[in-house]
Amino acid sequence: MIPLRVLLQRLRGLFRQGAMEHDLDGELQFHLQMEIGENLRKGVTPQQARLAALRRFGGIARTKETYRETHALPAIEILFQDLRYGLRVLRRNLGFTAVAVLSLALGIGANTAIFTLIRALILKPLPVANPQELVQIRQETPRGPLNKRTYDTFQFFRERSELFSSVFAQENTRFNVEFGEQPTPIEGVYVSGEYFPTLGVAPVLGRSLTTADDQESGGADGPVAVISYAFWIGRFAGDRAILGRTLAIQGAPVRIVGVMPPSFFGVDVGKSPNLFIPLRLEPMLQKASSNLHGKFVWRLDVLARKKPGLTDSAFRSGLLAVWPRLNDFFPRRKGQTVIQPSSAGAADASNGISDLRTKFSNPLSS
Amino acid sequence: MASDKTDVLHGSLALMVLRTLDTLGPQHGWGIARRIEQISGDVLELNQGTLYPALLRLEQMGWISSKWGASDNNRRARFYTITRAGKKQLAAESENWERISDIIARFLKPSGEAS
Repeated sequence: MIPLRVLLQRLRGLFRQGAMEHDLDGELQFHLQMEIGENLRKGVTPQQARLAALRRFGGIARTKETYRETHALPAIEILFQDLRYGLRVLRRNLGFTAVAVLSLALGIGANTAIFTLIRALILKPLPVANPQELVQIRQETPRGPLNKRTYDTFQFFRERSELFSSVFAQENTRFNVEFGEQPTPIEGVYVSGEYFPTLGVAPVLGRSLTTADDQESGGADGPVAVISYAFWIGRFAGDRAILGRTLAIQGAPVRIVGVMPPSFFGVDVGKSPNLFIPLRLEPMLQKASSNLHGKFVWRLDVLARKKPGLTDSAFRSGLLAVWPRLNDFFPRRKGQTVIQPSSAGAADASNGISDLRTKFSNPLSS
Repeated sequence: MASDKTDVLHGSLALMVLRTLDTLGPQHGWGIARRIEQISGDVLELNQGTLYPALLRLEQMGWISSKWGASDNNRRARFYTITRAGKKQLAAESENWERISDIIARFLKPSGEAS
């Protein structure tokens, strides 16, 4: 076992091979000259003096070899030689090298990309208050979950205060916003009034939306909206005068009252909405094509915060108990059941919701 | 090779080098070799070449240090000096050596005198 101190010295020695050889040559030269000089004083011929000195020394080549082995680490030196040899061969076979390096690069890149996707879709919690309390209410079927709810059933869940501390609905969409003459489609989301209070995300500028804003023709401030940080910087150059400014959205005047923080992209992973508009403004903005209140229009993502202190089993049995009442919202023939009582579902939404995830999470995690 | 000359044991060479440097002060390799041979009354035929790897090992252990300088005849030579750690090692090794040689000596006494 080589002591650590010696090991370090020898590692240092690896980078001083040239100096070492030079020093050793000088040192041995000096030694032999001294010995020869001594022998000459005894009155022998120069040739005899030299031979005697060499004999006494006992093998210069062997001494140098032992010295080199002591000076550095032979094994590592051999490794260095192998590495140098490998690099030379690679340089000679450029085609092979290019293919090898490219495959490695692609392999590493693909792994990184997949992991980035897994992280974003599956692992990373939403940047909101207590994300672990969030669930998405959905209907489980043999063919997979049905995530979308109607407005009526959203309202039903909103009243279930025995199960949830709060419930909100959202719908991804696109808004036509007029900048000058040109209507530009902007990615956005309709959110119920409970959306921001439930998520607990504070705006960086102005205010967020409240239930008071979520009215047929707006609240005290009229029709209002908040925008994303990226949109604020990208489209309005971070101008603070954005607050109170009116945009023509779907032809209707809507006032901007707040800017969200840069980390907030809504609850739908993979989407980056720029405009957040109260859900109940939908009839005003969509006009004739509005179908918010359609009895069979399944378009809303309904998320809820579980009531704190409720055990998992109590929550589950409570959900199963109220679930059959959903059938009251659908006109049907007597005895027919639209919604199976066992289809009650509340999926963990701490990492946000995602249609991408529904599609990809099984292939990614299994 | 004459049978009354002894090969130098690995560990004892180190001890001799440390002792030489401790007594004489800074020395070059040839000086150390000559001194060891003289002290042993030329009974010990040092294969002088083996001295240099030994000096390197001692330096790696931190027991001696080396510096290039000019010799008596004004040639460039590498001078070795014992370090503080080297002196400590010398003291410890000398004691150890004496104890061992004492034990060996007892074994080699005529059997009747052993107690």
